[in-house]
Amino acid sequence: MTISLLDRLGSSPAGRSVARELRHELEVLSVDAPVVVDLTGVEVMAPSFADELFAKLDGDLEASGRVTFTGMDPALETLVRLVRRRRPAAA
Amino acid sequence: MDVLPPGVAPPDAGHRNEAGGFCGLRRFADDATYPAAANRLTSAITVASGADSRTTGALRTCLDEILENVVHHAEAAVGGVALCQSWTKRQQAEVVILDRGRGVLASLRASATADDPAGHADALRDALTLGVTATPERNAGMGLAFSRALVLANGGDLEMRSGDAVVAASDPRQDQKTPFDFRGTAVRVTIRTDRPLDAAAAYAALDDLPL
Repeated sequence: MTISLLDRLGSSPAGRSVARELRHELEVLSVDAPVVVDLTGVEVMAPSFADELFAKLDGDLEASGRVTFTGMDPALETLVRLVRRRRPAAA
Repeated sequence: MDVLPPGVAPPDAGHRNEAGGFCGLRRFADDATYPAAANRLTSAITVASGADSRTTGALRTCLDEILENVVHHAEAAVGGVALCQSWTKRQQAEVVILDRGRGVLASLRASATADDPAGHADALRDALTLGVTATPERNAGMGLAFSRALVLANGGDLEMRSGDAVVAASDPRQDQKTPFDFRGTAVRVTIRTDRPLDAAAAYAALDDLPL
C-alpha cells in the first residue's frame, strides 16, 4: 500500500507525537505487506517530526523493503540524513 | 482574572484585524492545542505578507518546534501563551512565546546527560546549540538550532530570555543581564517578511556542523 504524506499531513508536517503515530502505523502495516510512504509535494518538515519518523524507525524495515520512502526532495533528504546521523540507528 | 482553557482565544481587542497581521494571545498547554496555536500565528503573519507556501511551511515548522518545547520541557502548570504582530511598511513580523515554567537552566540541569550550565546565559546558549536537549531519549536537540539557522538566514533574529539573562541568536556571546529574575522562558522571533524563510538552507547549515 502507498501512503501519501501530503494527503495525510500536508506540505509541512510537524509534531513529534504525529510522527510517532505514523511510525507505529508503519510498523504495524508492514507486517502484512510492503508499505510505500510517498513524500511527493512535502516541502518542509519539522526536525522533530523527521527525527521521530526516520531516525527512530527500525532500520530493518527499510533494509528489508517492508517500508520504502519515495518522492523526497533533496532538502528533505538532507534533513533525513542529518537526523539519522545524530541518532544511532534503531535496533 | 479567569484563566482561559487551552485552545480558547481571548476576546478580540476590537481595534485589530487578526487577518491583517496581528494575532492576540493564544494559550496552549499540550500536544492537542499547540499545533492550532502555531497555525494561527503563522496565518496571521503569512496572509498579511503574501508569503509563498515554502515560507509559510518553514515559519509554521519553526513555531511548532518552539511551542512544542514549552509543552514538553517547561513544566508550566498552565502551558504557554503566544502572540504575533506584523508590520507591512517595516516588512517585519514578531512572534513571542512565553511560559512561566521552570526555565531553561532548571530544565537542562534536571537532565542526567546534558552538560551542567554555569548560569542562565550559558543555559540559553546551550539550548540554541544543535544536539543539546534535556531529554535525549525522546528529543534530538534540533528544534531551536533549526529555528536559529532559519531566522538568521532570513535576516531576522531569535532571542531567548530566562532567569536573569537574555541571549540573542545573532550574537550569543553577548548576553544581557536583566534587572529582574524572570521565572520561565520567553522566546522572541523576528523575521523579515520581504525575504523568504528557507528551510532547505537551514537543513544544510545544520548538516555542515560537526557531530
